[in-house]
Amino acid sequence: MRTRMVFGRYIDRDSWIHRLDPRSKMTAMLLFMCAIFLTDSYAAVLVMLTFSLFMIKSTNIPLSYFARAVKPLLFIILFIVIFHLAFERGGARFIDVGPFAIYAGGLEKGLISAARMVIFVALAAMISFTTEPDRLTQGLGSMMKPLRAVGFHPEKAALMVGIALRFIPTIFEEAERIWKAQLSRGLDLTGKPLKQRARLILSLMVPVMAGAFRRAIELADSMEARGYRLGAPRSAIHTLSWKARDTVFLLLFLVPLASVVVISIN
Amino acid sequence: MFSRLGLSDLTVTLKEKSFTAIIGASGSGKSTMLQHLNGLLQPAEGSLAILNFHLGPNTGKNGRSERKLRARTLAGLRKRVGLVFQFPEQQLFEATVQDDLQFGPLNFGYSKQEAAELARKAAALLGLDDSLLQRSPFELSGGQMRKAAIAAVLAADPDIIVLDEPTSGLDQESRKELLELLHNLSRLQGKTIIIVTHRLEEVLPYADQYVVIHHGKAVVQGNSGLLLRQPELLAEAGIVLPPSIRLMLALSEQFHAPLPEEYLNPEKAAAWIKGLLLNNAAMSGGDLYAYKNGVRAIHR
Ligand SMILES: Nc1ncnc2c1ncn2[C@@H]1O[C@H](COP(=O)(O)OP(=O)(O)OP(=O)(O)O)[C@@H](O)[C@H]1O
Ligand SMILES: [Mg+2]
Repeated sequence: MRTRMVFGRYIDRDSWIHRLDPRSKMTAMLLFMCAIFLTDSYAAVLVMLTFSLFMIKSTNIPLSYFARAVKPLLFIILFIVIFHLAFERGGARFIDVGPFAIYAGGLEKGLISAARMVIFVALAAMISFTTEPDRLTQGLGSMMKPLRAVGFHPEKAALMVGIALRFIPTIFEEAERIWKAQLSRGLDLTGKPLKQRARLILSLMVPVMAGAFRRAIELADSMEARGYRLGAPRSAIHTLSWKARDTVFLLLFLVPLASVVVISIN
Repeated sequence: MFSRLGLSDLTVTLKEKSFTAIIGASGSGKSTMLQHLNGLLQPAEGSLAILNFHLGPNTGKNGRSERKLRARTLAGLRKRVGLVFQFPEQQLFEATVQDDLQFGPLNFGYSKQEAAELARKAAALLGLDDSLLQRSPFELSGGQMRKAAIAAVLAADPDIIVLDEPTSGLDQESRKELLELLHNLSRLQGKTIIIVTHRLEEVLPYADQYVVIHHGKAVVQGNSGLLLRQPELLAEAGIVLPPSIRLMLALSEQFHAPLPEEYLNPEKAAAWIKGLLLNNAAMSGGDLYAYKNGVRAIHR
């Protein structure tokens, strides 16, 4: 289980991206999101892909980790490609497949959508891989500070996000534990019709959710037992500090954004 | 990914219908071994033979037909081998205790009514009050949860009952009751009992077979007599002998007399000690002084 679920995990390596201020990484992600939205041609995809590979290379984390982060989305991506292939009628007629015809436009749209999704998820994974969850929440809280003026509590929101991230692997462990307990008392999927199998797997979700709630309550108790109070000011062991490299990192993200805008206008 | 082995070179042969105690220090591999007994964990090398089920090494690269065969073997194995986990909160998952107790029987093909009846019987066997059956298992006290977890396994009526530290968290009275229940299951119904414990003294009156695990290997395997004859090995494996046994060892050394063949219950031990003293008195010419000396030696 541990090795299967990589998204949302921190991977400790030594790289300049690991050392960046989390605020810089999150802002960069916003810029990147804009660029992804504007990506609508093979050329733009090429730019985004090159840029992402460069960033991934800089993290010193093997590409296989990123591949595993994208893998759970394979189904959706495939669906999107097929959808475009089946329903887009632009461009030259390509190949005939029975009653369907595949058009160059459909192929282009499908491939570009797929690429956009893969690139975005990979770069989003980069943030979680290179930033400790604590720092991520700290950065998030700090970035949301201006919202305090409208009655929003950035600390609460940041804590919530932090705990949610922290709970992803825990919930998977919980599921594995219950699965083991059920197997040991005779749960057997082999030879059962698909429908019944799906029902049994779904029935796993109920105790997993109940377990997650139980753990959440325990966590709240143990935090309060150690002096946590909602809304009370807290200090941080590591304070965030914005360095020159953070500015450089942010500026780097202007490159793909600008290129994509230029390509899109032409 | 993990280069560390949980168990290595572990060879154990357990007799059917026996009461076996597995002892060993924390982290020695007891729980890991137990999880192999119903196929929750499968050996990477070597093989398992339990009842008439055989499980070869699981390489993870088996073909489709082989996987099917393995699944069938596992299903059969799990019906006949019930495993009580070390931590009951890791074993219970249903919304009510009743549902949890029925889970096994329902999976093993009993009808709804039969399963409910089996669940009720198992709960009664463990002394769980009927009023607890409709509660969530997570609202129970630690000891009640432990009993529910054991009842959930007994409800499916397995032939081999494997329990990982079932007495921890129970009060003295319940502990004794549980061990007597298990003993009766093995004696009267011919069940095989395999139990892990950290308290040697609580299983000594019941177990007829012992396995000592140390660093993932079985270092001693045999009856209580064999176990008690190897105090150095036990010490190395991190097992502290109970005071009564230490007294017997000390007595046998003082009187240069051989240890009994097997563990003695208090009454038999008293008779054995009496024998030692009388023998000693006789050897020193019926001297009452020597007899008193002997008594003093015991008190020292
Ligand atoms: N899921 C796991 N992944 C990796 N190593 C594990 C895992 N579970 C246990 N181990 C390791 O395997 C060894 C044996 O563990 P095991 O749980 O079998 O010990 P044990 O004899 O049951 O101990 P205890 O008396 O404390 O229950 C330990 O060194 C433990 O750290
Ligand atoms: Mg254990």
